Amino acid sequence: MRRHQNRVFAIALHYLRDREEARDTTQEIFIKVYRGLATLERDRPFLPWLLRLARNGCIDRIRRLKIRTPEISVPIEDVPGLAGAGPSPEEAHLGDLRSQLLYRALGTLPAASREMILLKDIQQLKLEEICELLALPLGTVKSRSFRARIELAKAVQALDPSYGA
Amino acid sequence: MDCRSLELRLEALLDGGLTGAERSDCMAHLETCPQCQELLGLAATALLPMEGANLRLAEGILAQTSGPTCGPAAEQLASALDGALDPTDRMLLDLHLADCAECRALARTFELLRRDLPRLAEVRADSRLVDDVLAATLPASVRLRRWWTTAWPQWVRRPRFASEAAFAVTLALLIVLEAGGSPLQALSKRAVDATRSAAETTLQASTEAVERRAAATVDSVRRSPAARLGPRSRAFVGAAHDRTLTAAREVRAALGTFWERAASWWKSSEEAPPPPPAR
Repeated sequence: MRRHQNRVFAIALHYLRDREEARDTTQEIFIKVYRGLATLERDRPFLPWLLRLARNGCIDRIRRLKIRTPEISVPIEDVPGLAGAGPSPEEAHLGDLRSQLLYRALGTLPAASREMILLKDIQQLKLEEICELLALPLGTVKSRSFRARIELAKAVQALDPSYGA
Repeated sequence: MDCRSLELRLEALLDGGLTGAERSDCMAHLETCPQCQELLGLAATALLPMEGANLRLAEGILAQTSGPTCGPAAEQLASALDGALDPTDRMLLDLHLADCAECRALARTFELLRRDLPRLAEVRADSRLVDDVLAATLPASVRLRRWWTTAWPQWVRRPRFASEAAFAVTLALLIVLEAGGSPLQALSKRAVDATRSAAETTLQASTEAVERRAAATVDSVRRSPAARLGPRSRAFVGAAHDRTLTAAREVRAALGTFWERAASWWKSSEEAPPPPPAR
């Protein structure tokens, strides 16, 4: 759990866009993981199974709360600190600003595009895994992924023209 | 000069970029080669101004065959992040990027996104998450024991615990005594019946005691030395005796009326929603 908790928390945060809700949902997801481990087939990879549970848990939570993720950008002060270590304080600061920019740009995308970016470019799932997770054909996933990337790139450029200039 | 050499010089020939000797060689070959004459004719036709549909058709063909314009270039840039671009498309894309500053900026943005997006894959969760999940997945007996030793004492010490406990006990008694099917459901009715029976007995005994006491008082007065005082005193005592008996009967009648009303209200409350007691 310690190995995957930050990843699942990031997914919950992307879907729910609220830190407290994401925290509670992450807890629920890991309780489900604990209770469902016996049903996981031995030769099946753990991470896609975990991500599917996480995605379904987040969607269930959204349905229960009857909320919609905000279409507007998330306030900068609500953007959480990022996990991982390594960069110097200056690099970390720049990286954090970039992350905040990305969070804001992601907040302007339609939910389907945001989910595609989350699964393909953030969580680095394979196209086949995304097809299975979303029950979509490969061609659809590819085209949606490309379209989402273009939307995100243009949203980032609109928010900060110096990004990539 | 052969056909291959002419094809290499064809563009320069049409643009007037050949030297005199080269141009003479080309013209000499053209006089003897029908294929190169046809090629020159086609090339010359392509340079003529085209109208409407022909021009749009040519632009469409060029867009498909001579490197991407901005729309397809953006899609190819997006797919290039997965390394899904074949070498020919890559070459055409590079040709487009060389002349398009907007697409070059988009390409740099894609590169930065490829570097920055994976950093969002993990967000640090708070340190208590693991403990909370472990606590929630413990067996029920262990969780109950932990709660009993830690949470319960704190819960009991809260100032409002007494009122909460009283409320809970009252609620529990109501449920136990009044719930349908409860073996104790008739207990409250039996208690009221017993109280009513005791009240009736007490009322009867009380009024009879008042009457007996009044009669004894009158009798003792009549036999007392004061009774020999004269007819006015005896008349006074007799009147007091009568008033006492009358008052006792009135009290008994009033209590009886009150009790009849109470019994009537009790009966109606059992049959229907209770009306307010009649005054």
